Amino acid sequence: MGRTSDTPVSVVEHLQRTRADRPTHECLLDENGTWTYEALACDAARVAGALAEVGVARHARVAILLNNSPAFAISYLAVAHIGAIPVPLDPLASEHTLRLILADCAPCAVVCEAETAARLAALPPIDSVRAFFSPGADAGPSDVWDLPIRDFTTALQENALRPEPDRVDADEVATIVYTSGTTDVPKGVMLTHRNLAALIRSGVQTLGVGRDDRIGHILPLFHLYGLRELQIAIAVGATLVLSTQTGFPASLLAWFERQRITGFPGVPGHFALYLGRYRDRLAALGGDLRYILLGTAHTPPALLDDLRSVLPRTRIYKTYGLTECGRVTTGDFTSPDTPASSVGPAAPGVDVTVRDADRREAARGEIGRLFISSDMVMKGYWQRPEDNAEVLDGRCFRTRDLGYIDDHGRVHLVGRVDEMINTGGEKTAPWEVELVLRQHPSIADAAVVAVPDEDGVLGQVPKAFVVLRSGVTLDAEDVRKHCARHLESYKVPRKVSFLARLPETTLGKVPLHALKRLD
Amino acid sequence: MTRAQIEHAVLEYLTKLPGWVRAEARGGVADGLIDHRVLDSLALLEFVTFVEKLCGIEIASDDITEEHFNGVDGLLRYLDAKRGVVEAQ
Repeated sequence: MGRTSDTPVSVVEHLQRTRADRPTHECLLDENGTWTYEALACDAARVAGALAEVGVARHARVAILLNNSPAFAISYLAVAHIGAIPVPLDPLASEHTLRLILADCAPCAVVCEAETAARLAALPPIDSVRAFFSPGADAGPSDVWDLPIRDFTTALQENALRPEPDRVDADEVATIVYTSGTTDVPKGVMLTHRNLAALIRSGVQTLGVGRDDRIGHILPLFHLYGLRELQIAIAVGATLVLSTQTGFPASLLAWFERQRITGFPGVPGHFALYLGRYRDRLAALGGDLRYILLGTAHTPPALLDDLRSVLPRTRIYKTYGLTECGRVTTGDFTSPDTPASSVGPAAPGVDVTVRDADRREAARGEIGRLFISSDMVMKGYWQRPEDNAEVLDGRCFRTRDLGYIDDHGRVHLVGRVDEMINTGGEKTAPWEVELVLRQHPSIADAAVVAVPDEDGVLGQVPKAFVVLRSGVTLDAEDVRKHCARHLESYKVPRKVSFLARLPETTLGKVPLHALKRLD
Repeated sequence: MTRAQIEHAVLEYLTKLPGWVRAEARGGVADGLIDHRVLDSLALLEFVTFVEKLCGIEIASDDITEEHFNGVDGLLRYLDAKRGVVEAQ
């Protein structure tokens, strides 16, 4: 399907329209500077000119290895401006992961800070890369793999404006976002302009984001959950408030208070942290803060209660999504009457069905695998036809998530298909053991994974990682006895390890492969 | 406790963190604990608690800033001031 109207198709077209509508309105800012819509569009167009000069063309991939910053937004929009495909990546990913991903997506250019350039210089060259760009003239190598590093600052001064961005079709690939790889190697998720337009619509409809909103942004822009906020802000003409102080909550929250943010998307861990030691600073946002959005990880009911009491005038939303499907659900949890165990109803335009092992649709309340259909479902994984055949059926994506839908249409997540522990043929869902563990008064949090049975008889056995509440003591045998009182014997963890806290990815998810490597 | 003992204990704590080894390969870890994700915001608070116990002081939330906690040198300067230690120049 091609274009049917003058409705903006791409983020660049949204930017052009908003620039024409409100050129002097703040689009993006951090502690070091502010970009109006006019300034952002101009800078992106100039950098697009610099990219085109070195041969970056339509459909070519450009890896963007930058932390959250205006430079990220300028680079992303510049790549999109010429119809090329931005591939945002974590600049602090391990060398192994970076090498894996760069070899996979074969970018023709890389945008990165000097420090990342130095790390890449130590790796074997990626043949596809023909140019390096840096957003500043920081000290660092002058070239990588015998390619000079070009400074964007020069491009901003010297290159002529490009008058019009390339026209794109809604079903062309707009960006490739790599999955976080909590259970597998990272895969490149191809998202089209149509996918991103649906993602924007979903945010606008469920959260009511509008042109007067100022979104406090701490989520990594190299993940879709964070990238969405940039797309939404540009599409509706809102303001995205970034910060260089995300690691220092006192400074961050004071900055957000001064900036009078109205929206604050994050992960539960962020808000648990603020409620613990920065309660007053979080409460101080309440005068302007219209909504909080909690995503990517389980939200304990106590955290919701605490947020309600500290921010009584702020709406509290929970959302569930996947890189492959955008946002799947968004629910309003402002009222304490909303069951905290759900992740809300399907977002507008999203169809969620629960299916059993034979792909028959499950009854309400029955646990099965979640299938998602919507305009947000990806075009496919980059160069992975076998994986695509396994998970995609047209616009329908077969997730690995297990859950059920209650009588009110709310989706409940209970675990993942591939997390099931097979102990001599008996199956255990980790969430079931985790639930029992969290019921123990001395246990603050827990995660359960499958590990090989050391005797080699049972195949896999459950292993628990337990975080104790402060000031209590408990040993492995106490934990096992507690489980034995509530679970079948094969579900009782054979091994128990105690951790100060569970490891988390940059988005607050527990990386199971990392747990399996721990003693 | 002397400044050298504090520095030793702090480095011993930090070098045991999973983020240290990976970050060390990138260089400049000691002056970029947050920038290099040796400490994320939660790990930072655990580290603050450790420093409080180590030095027998209380650190105000507003003192947990980039200047004081993004690097070992900045932390030692902050602790000197907090403990009223005057370093010989």
